Amino acid sequence: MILKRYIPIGIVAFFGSLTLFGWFIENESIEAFVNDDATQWYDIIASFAIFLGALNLLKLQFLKAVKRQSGWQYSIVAIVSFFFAFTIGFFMKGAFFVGEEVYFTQSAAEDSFIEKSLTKSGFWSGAYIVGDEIYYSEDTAKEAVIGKGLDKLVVPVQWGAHISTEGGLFKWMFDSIFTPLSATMFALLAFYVASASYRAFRARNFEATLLLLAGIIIMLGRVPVGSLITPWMVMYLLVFVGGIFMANYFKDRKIIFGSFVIGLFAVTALGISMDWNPTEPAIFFLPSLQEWIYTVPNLAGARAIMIGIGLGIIVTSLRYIFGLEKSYIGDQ
Amino acid sequence: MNNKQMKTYTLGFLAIVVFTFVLTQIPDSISGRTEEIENKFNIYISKLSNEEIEANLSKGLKPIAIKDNIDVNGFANTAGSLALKDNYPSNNAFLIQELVDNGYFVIGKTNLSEWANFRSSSSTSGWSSMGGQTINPYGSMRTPCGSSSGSGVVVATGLIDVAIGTETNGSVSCPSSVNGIVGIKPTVGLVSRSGIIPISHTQDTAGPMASSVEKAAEILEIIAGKDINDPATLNIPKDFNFDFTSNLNKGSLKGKRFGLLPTGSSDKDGEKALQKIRVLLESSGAIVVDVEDARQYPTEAELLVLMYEFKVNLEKYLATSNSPFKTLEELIEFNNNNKEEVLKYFDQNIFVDSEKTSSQKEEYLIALQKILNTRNGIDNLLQENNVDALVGLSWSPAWAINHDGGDDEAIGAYRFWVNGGYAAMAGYPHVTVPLDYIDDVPIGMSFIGTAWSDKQLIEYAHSFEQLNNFNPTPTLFHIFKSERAVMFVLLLTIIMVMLNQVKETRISSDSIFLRTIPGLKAVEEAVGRSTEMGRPILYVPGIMDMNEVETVAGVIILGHVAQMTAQYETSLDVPVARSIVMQAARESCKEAYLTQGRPEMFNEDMVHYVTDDQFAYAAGVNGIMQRDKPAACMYMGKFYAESLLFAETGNSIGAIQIAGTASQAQIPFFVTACDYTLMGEEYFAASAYLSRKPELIAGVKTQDMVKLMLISFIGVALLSRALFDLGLTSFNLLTWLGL
Repeated sequence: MILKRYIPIGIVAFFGSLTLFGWFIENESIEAFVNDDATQWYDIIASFAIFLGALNLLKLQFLKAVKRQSGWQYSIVAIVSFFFAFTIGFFMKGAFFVGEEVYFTQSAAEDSFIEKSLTKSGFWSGAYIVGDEIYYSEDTAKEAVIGKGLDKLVVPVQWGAHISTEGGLFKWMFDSIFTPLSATMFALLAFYVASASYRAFRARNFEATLLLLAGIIIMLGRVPVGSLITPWMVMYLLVFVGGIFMANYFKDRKIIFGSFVIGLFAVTALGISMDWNPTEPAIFFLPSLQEWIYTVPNLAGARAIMIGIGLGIIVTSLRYIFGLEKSYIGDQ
Repeated sequence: MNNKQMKTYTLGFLAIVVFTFVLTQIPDSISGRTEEIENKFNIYISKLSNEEIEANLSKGLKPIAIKDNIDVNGFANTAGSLALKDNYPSNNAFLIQELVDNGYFVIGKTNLSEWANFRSSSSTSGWSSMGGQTINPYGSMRTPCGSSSGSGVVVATGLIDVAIGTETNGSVSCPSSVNGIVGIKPTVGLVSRSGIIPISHTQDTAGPMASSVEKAAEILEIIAGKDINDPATLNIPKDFNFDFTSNLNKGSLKGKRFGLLPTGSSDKDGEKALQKIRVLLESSGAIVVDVEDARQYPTEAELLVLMYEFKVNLEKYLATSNSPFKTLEELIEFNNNNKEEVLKYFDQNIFVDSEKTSSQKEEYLIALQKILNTRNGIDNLLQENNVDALVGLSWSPAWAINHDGGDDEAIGAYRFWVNGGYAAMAGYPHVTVPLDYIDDVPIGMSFIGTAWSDKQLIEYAHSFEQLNNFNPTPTLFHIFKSERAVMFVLLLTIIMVMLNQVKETRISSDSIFLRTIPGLKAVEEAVGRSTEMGRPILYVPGIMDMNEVETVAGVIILGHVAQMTAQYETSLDVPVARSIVMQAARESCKEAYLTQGRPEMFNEDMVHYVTDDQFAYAAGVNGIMQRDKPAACMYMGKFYAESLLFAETGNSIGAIQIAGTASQAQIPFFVTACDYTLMGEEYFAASAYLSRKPELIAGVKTQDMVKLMLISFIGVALLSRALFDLGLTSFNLLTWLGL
């Protein structure tokens, strides 16, 4: 009980308080501990913990493949990929320099000294050139590379640096396989945003209609065509929205229709009196309107949520520090 | 809240405020902390090594700090711009050579407002891309003003007695005033500008900034004089007396007449400071005349003159320098190419507009005439009022550093007054001495006179300095970070309310009302639905590690969900993105199954690791969804762009979806694609809702009470700001709190 309950709670209380109250104190040692040391401790622990994760991953994928569970083929791909990357990362340097050129293997790097002899018409003549000399078999050319000591010009990359060396095998795998696959997943977002927007923007009720309208204004206001739309058009649109809003509260169609018509007339009368000035009233100019929506109601709402989140984080953290919340160590 | 609680909280809050105030007053030692001070206030762009300084001191040389827009051998002359980081001059500037010849050595080049504050109209004083943000020693969120920011701060911190600044308009007087030191802006032409990165030959000058008038005068004596490379210095009158120091202690203000310039604002503290000037001068036998100042400030004309001259003068300087950039156009291009670093806080609209001024020579000449007319303005005020010099407040107290809206926005939310703009345009002398504190930061007093009256102004300023005997000294280090006092008070208040609520909730027999949160009510429904359908529940505790409070909250909620799945005998699948989260989540689930008396149902592989990578994890979890078709998907933790990938896939398989996160940018996605969403604080309150433990529910109540307090505070702050903006009061709550 002591090991499993009180010691963890004590550690959380001590280091939590140190971090929290240390933020208010001008003390380099505390700052260095909180900002650097504690973070490094965490990184080291996390680095070791990755083995637990990797073993768990392998175990489950093996079981899945052996039991031929649904999608077992993917498990085989996962296992093979794991060991392939593991082998290349831990046992192969995969980067050999000849000058600034990088080759995956030592032999490929050595072969770079062998040039194929070409005929005048550009076809391979069947001979190999090493330096100034011509050889008629690949093996003798390779021997010549070693004989001339050219293989000593091949410099293998340092361990550790091999995973980030531009042109090296591991980095090549990362850039050419992993990154495009990640980008593919990321790109799916474009389609998901479209499908989610379709559902969100359906004018089912007043709130959804408001969202739809705000969405239209933001989208139109941010593209060049938005600045070509006269504010009067937007005002008519707002009269329509006003009608939808009223429909929620007034069930009498005559009142709604009457208000709607009055609104249209009012906008028209205002337009005539102002000579339908295409730049006035400026507040209904779409780029200005979208800017206003973005910086006023949107920001106000976002800040309200932020304050709530901030308070939630503070109170939750204090519950951990004071030992009121113990579920994170399994206490239900 | 009953009366007893109200009394407890009020007394507790007052005790917290007093306790915090006491903490903020505890000073910390500064001895031997030179480097720490330099780093804290970000004073230098470049500096000699300790060995070099020791070697110079051992030779009996005296240190002086130089603004980083003056040529000094061995130091790059950058104007604070990354573009000039390799601009090592071939020779010392004229004034530097004079200092070296008189036993001084340059200890370092001080930070400045980039390009002497002539790059953008929305700039923040004291910031440069080379040196970062210099800080006022009287408040870590206060401006050091500029552009001679580092020169002002290095003297104010007491690290050095004298520094050199340069001024086109306010760049010596403002940082001197707000940092509580003496600054002399001499008549244009008294000090040579050769070897200084220029703005305007009409207004530019260098000047000393020092801890006393005497020390500033000593430096001015050294650096003043004719230089063939600066034609303006040839205008120094033949009979000009360069001996600024020998009469200092003999001077008296008795019988002198001074014209008192108004603040131009209705600020009551400003008025009080003006009265202090009047009382002190009159007590010394001087006569103070109230000046009616009807001059119109030619803002547009000044800007055109400066922009026109800037391009011409700068390109002339660059042509003979070792800078790789030779034209303003090249500098604009450099800034655009390095905008992440150079333009990160403000743009370069003045550069761009200056570049276009070549064709505006006629307009320039008209504007220049308006600028030169300001000389008549000062001379007329002196003659009409029959005074020896004009006096007034130099600058308003240091405003807040604002990197978003720049100085203009910060000043707009605070007090503002200034004297010295006309003297800058006229090229007339202006001496600033510390006067008093307003809002715990120093303000300065100005002596302004006609051309070549530098010596007289220095003597007046010295006499006033002795009379006032005000030597502001900043407390450079406190044990407690006073700028965080408001947060500290808030934190202690939250702790007080929470602990009191916990105590009351434990002893109270009444159950606390909790508003129904549909998302939490739906958790049990979702588990029931999964049981009926015979499908698993998928629980995703975010993609971040246990060092995120959201992940911890996610793991806690998982424990409650696991209790339900144990009760209903439903299978639970928890793919995780971090190994430590895997261990914590397993522990949480194991305890839940034990608590429910179903240990045999717990299988540690129900919590399994997928990968640390964001999109690979998203692909893995989506694959699980597609294959296993869970009846309910719960996303509780910290999420980024993968949130929509999860939620849309879950939607496509028809699962009931409940999300909870404090990741603000992801909330709209979850709201759109999920059936229920716990937003922000609801998410953190979930554990209390699900467990119904009194001490946790007390936390929820605390959140509500603090929220009420914050809403009240926002209301009061709004009212205070409105009254301030309407000019009904000079008190602004937010500024007073340093927010």
